[in-house]
Amino acid sequence: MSKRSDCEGDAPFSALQTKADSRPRSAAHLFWVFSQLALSGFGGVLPIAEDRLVRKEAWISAQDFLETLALAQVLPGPNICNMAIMLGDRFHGTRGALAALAGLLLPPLLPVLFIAYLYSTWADSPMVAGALRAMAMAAAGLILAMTLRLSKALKRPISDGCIAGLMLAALLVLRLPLLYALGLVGALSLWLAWRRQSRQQD
Amino acid sequence: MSASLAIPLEVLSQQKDWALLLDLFIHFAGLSVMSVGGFIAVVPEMQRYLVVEQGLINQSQLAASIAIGQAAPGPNVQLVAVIGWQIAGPFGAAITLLGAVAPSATIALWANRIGMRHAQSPFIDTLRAGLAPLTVGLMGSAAWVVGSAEAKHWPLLLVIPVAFFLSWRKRLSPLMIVLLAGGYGALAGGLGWL
Repeated sequence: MSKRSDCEGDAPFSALQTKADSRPRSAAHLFWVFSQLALSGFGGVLPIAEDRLVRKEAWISAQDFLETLALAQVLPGPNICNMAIMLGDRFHGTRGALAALAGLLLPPLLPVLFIAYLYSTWADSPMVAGALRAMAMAAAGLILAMTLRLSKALKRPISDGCIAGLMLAALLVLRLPLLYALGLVGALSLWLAWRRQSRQQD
Repeated sequence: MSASLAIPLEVLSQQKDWALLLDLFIHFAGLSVMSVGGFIAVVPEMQRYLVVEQGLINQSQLAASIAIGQAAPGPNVQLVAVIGWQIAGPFGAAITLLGAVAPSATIALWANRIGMRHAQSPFIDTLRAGLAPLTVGLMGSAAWVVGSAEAKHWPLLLVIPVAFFLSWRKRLSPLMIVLLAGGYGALAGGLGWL
C-alpha cells in the first residue's frame, strides 16, 4: 500500500511516465497478453505469468503479484483465472476482466482438444509419455524458482518465512486438506498481521 | 493396450441431450464454488460424481483428462473441457467449462471490487499482508506434489534441478525450459530409460 501512495506524491516526471507506460493499453491488449501467456503455459501458467507480468511487461511489482495471487488463492476458482479477473478489472474494469479471462481460456482450447485427440492415438508411445512426464518435472522446477523469486518480495523475511514453512508442513507432513490448512495457518498469519497493524497505529 | 481417452467425433451428429447438459452445468457450477486452491482440489468430488455415481466417464478417462489439462497449454481448468467433450461433444465441453469458470469468476470480480473500494482500510491491508506468506508455502507444496509423482525415476527427477537452475540463474524463458524438457523426455522415453 505504502508503495502506491509514494508514487502519487512528488515523484519525478520520468517515474510517472514509466508507470503510465507499463500498463495494458486496452481490453484488447489484456486479451492479447493473457492469450500469449496461456498458449505458452505448458504445465501451468503461473510461472509464465510471473515472468511476463512482473519482469517483461512490468504491469505489477513482485510484491503486488504475490499479494494478488494470495487473494486469488483463497477465493474459489483457478488461481490464474482469478488473477486475470482481478488485474483486468483493476486496469480496464469489467471489460478488462472479461478480456483477460477470455484470453486465458479460449485460445488454448483448440490445442488442448487437439492434444487430447493426439493422446488418444499416441498414449502408448514411450516417447510421447516420456516427453509429457519430463515436462511435468520441468513445471515443478519452474514453480520452485518462482516460489523463491516471489518469497524475496515478502516484507518480513523471518516471520513470513515461518508462516510459509508452517503452511508447507501442514500440507506435506500433516497432510491436512487444503481448506483446513488454509483455515488454521491462515488464521494464525492474519492474527499476527492484525496485531502488527494495530501496534503500528498506537 | 488401447488408449483410454476417446474423443468421439460421432457425438457431433447426435441429438443434444438438454437434461444431461443442464445436469453437467449445475454440477460443475457447484464444483466451481468449492474449488478453493484451483480445480485440482475438487478432483475427488468430480470423480465421485462423474465416475462412481453417474458412470459418465471411467477412471482412466478421468486420469488422462487431468494429465492433458496439466501438460497442454493454458490453465489446468481446461481439463473440464476434455471431460465435457467426452461426455457430450463440443457442447459438453463449452457447458462444463462455462459452469466451472463463471461462478468463481463472478466471486473474484466482486471480491476485487470490495478490495479496491476499501484499499486504504487497515483490514484489507492486513488481509493482503497476512495471506502472502501462505501463498509461498502453498506454491512450495505444489512443486513438491508435482515432482513427487516421479519420485522413483531419477532420469526424470533430474529435470527438476536443471529447470530450476535455468530459470533461477540463466533466466531462460519458461516455455523454452519446458520444451527442452519435452525433448529430453522424448529421447529418454525412446531409449527406454523410463
